[in-house]
Amino acid sequence: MRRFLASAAVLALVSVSAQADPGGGKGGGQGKGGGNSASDNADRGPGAARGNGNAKVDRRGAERSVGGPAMVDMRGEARGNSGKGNDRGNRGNDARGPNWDNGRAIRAINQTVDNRPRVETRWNRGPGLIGGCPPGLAKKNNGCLPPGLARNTNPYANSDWYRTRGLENGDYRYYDGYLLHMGAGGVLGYVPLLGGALAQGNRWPTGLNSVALPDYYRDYYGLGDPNGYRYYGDTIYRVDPQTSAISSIAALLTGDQFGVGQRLPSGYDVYNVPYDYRDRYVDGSDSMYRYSDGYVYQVDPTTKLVQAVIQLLT
Amino acid sequence: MRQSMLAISLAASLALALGACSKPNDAPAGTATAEGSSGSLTAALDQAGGMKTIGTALTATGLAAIFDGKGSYTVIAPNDAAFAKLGEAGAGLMEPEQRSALAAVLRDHIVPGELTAADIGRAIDASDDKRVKMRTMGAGDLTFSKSGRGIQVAASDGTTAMLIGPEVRSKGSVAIPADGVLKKI
Repeated sequence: MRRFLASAAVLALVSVSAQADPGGGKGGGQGKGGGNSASDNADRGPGAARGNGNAKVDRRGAERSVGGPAMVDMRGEARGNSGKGNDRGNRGNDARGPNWDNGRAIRAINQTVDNRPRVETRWNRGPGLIGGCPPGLAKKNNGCLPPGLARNTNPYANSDWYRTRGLENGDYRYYDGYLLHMGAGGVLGYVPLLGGALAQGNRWPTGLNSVALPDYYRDYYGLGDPNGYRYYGDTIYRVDPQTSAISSIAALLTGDQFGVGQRLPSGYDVYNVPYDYRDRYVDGSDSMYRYSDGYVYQVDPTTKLVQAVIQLLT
Repeated sequence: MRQSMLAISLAASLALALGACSKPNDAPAGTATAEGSSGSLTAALDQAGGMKTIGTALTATGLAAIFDGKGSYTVIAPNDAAFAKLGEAGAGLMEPEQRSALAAVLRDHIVPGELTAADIGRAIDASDDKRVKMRTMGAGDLTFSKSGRGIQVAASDGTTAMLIGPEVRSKGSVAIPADGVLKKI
């Protein structure tokens, strides 16, 4: 049996008028969550998440999460790529770690009105389609138009095939591990593909920025050195910090972002808590539990509003 | 017979394409039940009957590694016969230059957390319209419903398959065998 420490913390997307509950219920948790909930049912706090009394409360975990997820806003990068085309090939720092776009880092965590910390599950997932010319083509200095690109012979080169946010219908071509979005004047943007440009053994594409993950993800997925991973397209890649070569795929993420007081998204109809945690997170009349991206969410079965966000740390 | 031969051919061609870079998997054999195993999921799939193609495809795309980490996943796993039914289109998808397309197909078969057919069945019974959805790591959701004495799963593009268990379980993740590939190919 895996030794684990479960910490429950509340994402309090609270309004100023939220009711605080000092003491935190049965487990001594972080207080009530869901102050902005549309229903009283959401205002249960983490105590209910530990109704069976087994889970320990890890205030450190919550605090780490609060302090950790300085996030990177990739919107600036996406805009920067647009129209720059061939300039992209010179922007990399492959051997020096990821291209963190720290200039636009945003602080995800705010203090609640009662100064208690809260877990923030919302963070910037980075761009889907990236404007401009992919690194390999940019280096060829041919106007981003490789020979043969006019003939779209790949049956899978379309926006429906790949999981990428922001792809619109249009003319897509496949080239050397990238999905290219074509316009009248050439390549408008590109998506580096898992298994293609982002395949095991390949160097992380020059100029392709990564998104800094919240600390909790680094802990949960055991990512270690910040230079030892990259995140793009809801996929976490392990990379060699020295060479930037992709060594493996560490995790796939749903990218779903929801927290206390928010409604559980569609697509979580079936109990899916990992087996090692099922003895403590059992569906009942007061609460149901669902797993997503390293968290267990305690949800009101009637309203489907999230009551607590539970971290799973070993 | 022809389909089973094609399935073997698909798995073999993928294995050949992996070549020397494929790390031999000497992990303990996984169980083909829901009792759990400490081995890798791909090793468990390899030990399960008729599930070689999906395991080889996961390895070829690099997705097999996610099952060795802390994350928890369930694969709705087409069996060898399901891949064989794709015919030449399926064979083309297994070509090395189509790894990214294959990875996208596989993502459409992976959902977060650990499910069992029993979990799915209970959720269906408890639902108002007798169908339940799970989001995938790919482009859409999977919808489960009961059909005859079994559980049918449908992809967003309308393709369907039947869950044909038993689950193949290993280290935080599980594969539920299915008789079809959930993507129009």
